[in-house]
This record gives sequence, structure tokens and C-alpha cells, in this order.
Amino acid sequence: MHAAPDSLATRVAVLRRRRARGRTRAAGGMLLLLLAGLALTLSLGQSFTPPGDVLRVLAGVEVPGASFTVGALRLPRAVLSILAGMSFGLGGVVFQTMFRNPLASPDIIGISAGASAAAVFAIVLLGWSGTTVSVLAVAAGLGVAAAIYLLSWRNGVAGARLILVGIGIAAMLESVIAYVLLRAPAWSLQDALRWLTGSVNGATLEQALPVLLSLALFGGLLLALRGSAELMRLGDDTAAALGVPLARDRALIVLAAVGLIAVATAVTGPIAFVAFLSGPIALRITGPGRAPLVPAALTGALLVLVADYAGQHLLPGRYPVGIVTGALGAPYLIYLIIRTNRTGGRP
Amino acid sequence: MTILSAAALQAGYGDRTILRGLDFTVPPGRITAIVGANACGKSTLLRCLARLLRPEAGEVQLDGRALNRFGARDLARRLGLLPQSPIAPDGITVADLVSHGRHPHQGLLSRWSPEDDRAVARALEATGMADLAERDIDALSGGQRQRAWIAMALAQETGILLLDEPTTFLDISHQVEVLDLLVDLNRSRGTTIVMVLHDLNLAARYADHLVAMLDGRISASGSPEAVLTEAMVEEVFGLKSLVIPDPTSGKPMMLPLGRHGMRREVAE
Ligand SMILES: Nc1ncnc2c1ncn2[C@@H]1O[C@H](COP(=O)(O)OP(=O)(O)OP(=O)(O)O)[C@@H](O)[C@H]1O
Ligand SMILES: [Mg+2]
Repeated sequence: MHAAPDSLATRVAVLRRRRARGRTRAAGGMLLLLLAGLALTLSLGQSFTPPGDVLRVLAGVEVPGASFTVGALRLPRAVLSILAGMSFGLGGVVFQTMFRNPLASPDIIGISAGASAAAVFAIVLLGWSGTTVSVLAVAAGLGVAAAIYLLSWRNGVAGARLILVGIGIAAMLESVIAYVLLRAPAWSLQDALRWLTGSVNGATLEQALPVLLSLALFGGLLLALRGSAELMRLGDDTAAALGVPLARDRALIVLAAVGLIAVATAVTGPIAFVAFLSGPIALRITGPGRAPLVPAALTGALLVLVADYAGQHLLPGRYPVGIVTGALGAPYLIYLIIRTNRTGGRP
Repeated sequence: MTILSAAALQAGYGDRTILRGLDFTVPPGRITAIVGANACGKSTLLRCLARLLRPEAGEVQLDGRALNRFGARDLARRLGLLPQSPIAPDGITVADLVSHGRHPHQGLLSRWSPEDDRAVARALEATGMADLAERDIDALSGGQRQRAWIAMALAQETGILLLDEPTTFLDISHQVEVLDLLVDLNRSRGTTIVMVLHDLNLAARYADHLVAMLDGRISASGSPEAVLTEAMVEEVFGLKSLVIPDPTSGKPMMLPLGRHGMRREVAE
């Protein structure tokens, strides 16, 4: 074979760098947007806090009034929104990428509902709290993932079958959540809503800590495995032929994604459709070609932050964040289901 | 030169056994073509040879070492496979797809290097895809898309390359072009090539070694002259034929005999 001219190699390199720069720029833009959203939610709520005061509170200075509204109310709420949004966004896009179908998102196929049902069960009926609830939620999420996998297995797992089985399991688990909540007469409607649609009401920094740890551990694992996830989009045979240890990497990716979703769900409840929406939105922004892991995490964070802000301050009345994201996600879900119906199961 | 061989290979899907005790040594440094009727197990054999399917019994070895003792990347640096119907993600460009072929050459410590760019460029050049490097895969013709996939497999730069029907979707001139390209690759780099082909005449012309499969077994193997005979075509494909020397290559050439469309003397 003749050697390719170096100029072609140079062009290949230029193309590659241009695409990488484009992705970095898109992610950078989204990060700026997220910071702007954070600045807005910290300074403007029921009352306006000047940016200077916000910064002083962040630096640890005691500012009368602002220390409470910003430091105790707005900041924990924003931090939890961002961390949970990142967890949902990243966990969702990884599933969608691996199964090559936007409907294969953990909040559609019952994994969030599994974590949520376990958390409600432990909190309401067993009186548990804190880390043990998170651990149980992760275990339940993994259990549901395994159950869906086994139930939809027939000489391998087809995306469409996995999604149908998952939607059925999700419906069952949601009725379990509703039943458990009915058994808890002392619960307020706010708390009940958290477990049905997700909410960041009454967030504290202590609550955000497990989500941060899970993001560091599982998110880091997913970023390390992003190359494998990317190649799985080419189909199992091609990925394996290119040197991806399929069984191992797929198990690790599912574990990490379920871990992200379940820990966040154990704290905020299943914030509706954030996992489902973040990947497709991020893909629109960064352009196709590569699985948008980091952009989807940023999109998830922005979604939860902005939707919660809207639910608190922009809409008539106050709504938990999950109601707002639910209203955003439902039309897209219907659209996808109709399209899936037309294409006979292909995404 | 690396030797890939299967001994007493038995494999299938679920409780359906497809390959039944098959022995096969890939001639190193040569071009081997596998032929056989639909569903006889050609793709299944390639998938076992590339460790994509775990055998029920028997073993595949690379250089005398069992295949499952190789690490994933290590194996992928020695042995490449282009599946029969690969899946391209939405919106991926040719250059991106071909770059994926470099995956096994990168590790945690060795990231993308100028050598990877050169390998991608060589693969694009060899497949005539250089001018289409920026195109989306979705925006290619079936033949161009096939060449993009072949370029990806070439960029892997393995000593052994398994290709499952690399010429499907290609018009006759592109079929010949791809096969010429594989011969170039074989001659210049000594790459061992195993390909599944449906066109018996092109298989006989381009392969050094021909393997005919029937119902999960090898029914004949050897030089094209020894394998492509009227008796083999009848046994493997259930088709009457006339095999004559190909005037352009001297290799055997098969002319199918159907019930219609032939001169009366031939049809008798
Ligand atoms: N993933 C699978 N699950 C179950 N059965 C399968 C699977 N893949 C192939 N088979 C079956 O195994 C048999 C052999 O298939 P294989 O793909 O090896 O045939 P082939 O010789 O490559 O055929 P073709 O020329 O049509 O590509 C067929 O009967 C097929 O239906
Ligand atoms: Mg086949």
C-alpha cells in the first residue's frame, strides 16, 4: 500500500482538533450559562440580594439577612439542584448511548422508580434515614436494572423489548410508591410529592454531600469509561472487535449510571424526566457525532436549577421542581413513543 | 507471522448449535475466502475466530495461545473484524468513524498521537475516502459507507483481518476495487485476510485459499482449483453448474445452470 501523504494526516489532525474545539466551546458555553443561572438563583428570589452580599456570604462573611436567605436557603437549594441535575443528566445519557435509544433512560424504564420506591419504603415504613437510605436506593436501582435485563433477555437484549418491560416495571413501582405514601398519614403533601415527582424543597448542604460523593465516584468512573461507551454505539460486535471488554465495561457503566441516579433519587426523589431530557437537549447543542456526557450533565444541572426557579418564582403558585420538568418532558416522551411506534421499535 | 486456528469448534446461540466440530487453520499471510449458502454459519465462524462468540466446545488459538487468554485491547491490536452489518451512530463523520479504529492502540497512558493521525490518513487514502473524510456517514451511498467501514478496520492495522461480506452493497467496479485493495494490503504488509464472499468467481480469483461451508461444517477447503468444482457447487448450494477456466485469471469460473435462459445444447 502506498503511504498517505503527510498533508492528509495533517488534515485529519486539523479536523479532529476542530471538532474537539467545537465540543469544548459548547461545553464551556453551557458552563457559563449554568454559572449565570446560579448567580440569578442566589441573588433573586422573593427578595433581591445584591451580588456583593452574595459573594460575601459565599466567602463566609456574616451578612445580616443575606446569610439566612442566601446561605441557608438559596445556596443549599441551588447546590443540590446542580448536583442532582448532573447525576440525572449523566446517568441518563449513558443509558441512552449504550442502548442507542433515547427511551432507554433510567427514569423511563423504572430504575428511578425502583430507587424511589425503596427510599420511600425505608423512610416511611422502616424509619430509616441518611446514608442507609441511599445505599438501599442504589441496591434497589441495581435490582430493578437486573430484573429488567433478565425479563427482556431473549438471545440478547433488544432495545425495544427492554423499554417495554421497563415501562411496565416503572408503572408497577409507582403504584408501590403511592401505596406506601397512603400508609403514612402523618406525611405532608410536600413530602409526598417529593417521592412522586421529585423536589429540592428544604434542601440542606448535608443532603447534598452524598450526591457530591456519588458524582465524584460514579461520574469519574463513567468519564474514565467514556471511550467504551462511545464505541458501544457502533454495536456490540464492532465494539468488541475494537478491543472493548464488553461484559466488564457494560457492567461497570450500568453500575455507575444506576448509582448516580439512585443516590440523587434517594435525596431529591425522582425529578421527572431530567435523565430523559438532558441527553437529547445536549446533543442538539453540541451536535451529533459523539455521546455528550459532560454536556448532558451540565444540561441536567441547568434544567433542575431553572425549572426549580420557575416553580418557585415564575409560575403562579409554587410547584416542586419535578412538576415543572414533568410538564417539559411529557410532550417529548409522547412524541418519541409515537415515532417509535411508526418506525417499529427503531429509535 | 501469527497463526489463528480453531479446533473441534462447536458454537451456536442459546440451545441451537450452529457450528458442529469444525477444524480450521487460517493460512498465515494469505487471503482466504469463505463461501457457503445463507445461514450455514459463516458469520458465526468469524465471530468465534474474533472472540465475539464464546464456543460451546473446542477452542480458538492465536499463536498457540487460547483466545480468551488475551486482553481485549491486546487482541484487537492483532486481530480485526468487520461485522456483516455494522451500526453507524447518527451524525458521525467518516474521519470520526475511521478514528475509532485506533482505539486498541490507545491506553490510559498513550493518548492520541501523530502516528494515529497518520494511520487514519493511510486508511482513508487506501480506501479512496480522503475526499469524503468530513462527510456524515448518513450522507454516503451504500458503497461509500462500506468503504468507510473498511477504512476503520484498516486503521486498526492488525496482522489478521476478518471481513464479513465486505463487498455487499458495492457495484461490480467497487467490488473489484475493494478486493484489489485487500490484495494490496496482503502483499505490502503481509496482512492475513479472511473474508466471507458470496460471489464464487471473485472468491476463486482473489483468494489463495477457498473454504466451502455446509451446515456448520467445512465441506471443502484448499486452492480455488481444488475447491470450486461442479460437485462442490451442487453439494453446497444445491445448484447445477458449469465450471470452466476464467480466461482472465486461469482460476476456475462457475456458470450457474438454471431452468431458463440457456442455449438448448447446454440445458439438454
Ligand atoms: N444472534 C443470533 N441469535 C440466534 N440465532 C442466530 C444469531 N445469529 C445467527 N443466528 C442463526 O445462526 C445460523 C447461522 O447464522 P450465520 O449468521 O452464521 O449465517 P451465515 O452463513 O453468515 O449466513 P448469511 O450468508 O446469510 O450471512 C442461522 O440459522 C441464523 O438464523
Ligand atoms: Mg453472515
